[in-house]
Amino acid sequence: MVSGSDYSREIRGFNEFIEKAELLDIPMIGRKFTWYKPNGMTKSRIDRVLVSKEWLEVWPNSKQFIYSRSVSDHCVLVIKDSCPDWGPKPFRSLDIWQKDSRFRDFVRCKWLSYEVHDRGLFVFKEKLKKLKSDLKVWNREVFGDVKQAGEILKNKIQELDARDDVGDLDEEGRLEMRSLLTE
Amino acid sequence: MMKITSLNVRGLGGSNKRRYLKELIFKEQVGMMCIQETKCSEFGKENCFNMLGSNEIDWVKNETINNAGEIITIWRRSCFHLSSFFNGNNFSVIEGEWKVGDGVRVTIVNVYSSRSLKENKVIWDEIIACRAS
Repeated sequence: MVSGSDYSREIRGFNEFIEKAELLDIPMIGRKFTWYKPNGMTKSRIDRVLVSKEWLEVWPNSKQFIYSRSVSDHCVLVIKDSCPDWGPKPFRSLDIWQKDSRFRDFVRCKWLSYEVHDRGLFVFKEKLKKLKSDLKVWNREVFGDVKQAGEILKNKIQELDARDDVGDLDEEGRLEMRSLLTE
Repeated sequence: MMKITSLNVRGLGGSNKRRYLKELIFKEQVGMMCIQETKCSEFGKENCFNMLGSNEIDWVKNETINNAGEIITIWRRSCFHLSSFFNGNNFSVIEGEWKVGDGVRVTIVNVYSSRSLKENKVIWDEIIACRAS
């Protein structure tokens, strides 16, 4: 039987050990506890993995995955170096491309030029990948840096707004504002 | 790839447990396993081979643990190369090279804590001393 004060002494001792040994806790994935009493009344993080600073330099994404209990009343801890995986990046297109007559021709021409030989789906995936990078280049050549253009527009509008606020916006300025806003 | 597991198995007597561990190590491509409370001192070389059915495996056993029995550290030779080990009171220190890239020198400590604070303090001090040396 462990009394409350023994328990806190135990925790203090363990924390001192972690500090002196210069060890670090790594994130837990899956569960918060690693051991459960059959009646479910008691659970604990009694099993744990600690690593050194040097370990994290080699495997910076080290995490401890807590698996569901199966053969023991303790869970299996799996230590892995796992990068966050957001899944495959989506294929994105800009509305502005669809309005441009050159877009269709560019895509058709490029698509036919790619030579990939393998299973059907793999060919499709590879061609899409190539098209993605070609479109990136095409977009910059044809439309320039869209983000930067947007930034410039925003700054101009802000400047005109500021002039309007102090009652300094003439008829010419108002016309400019109207055309900027439609852009 | 670095993939290590730790499990307090509560006895390795049952064949279902051994089957489970075998699955972990081979299906999930675990390179090393730190197992606590194997509770069978007769769990020797023969059993280890039977359990894992492979020469690809090596291990270090520590039987010096008071009351509840033993810890064992098992690894695949293709993932880890042992250079030295040390069995302390309630823990094993395994030193060697993790076979990834040009190889990474690692030290793994498999610990089975005691229920007594007094004993744990001894364990902790010993581990800190190992870390310093």
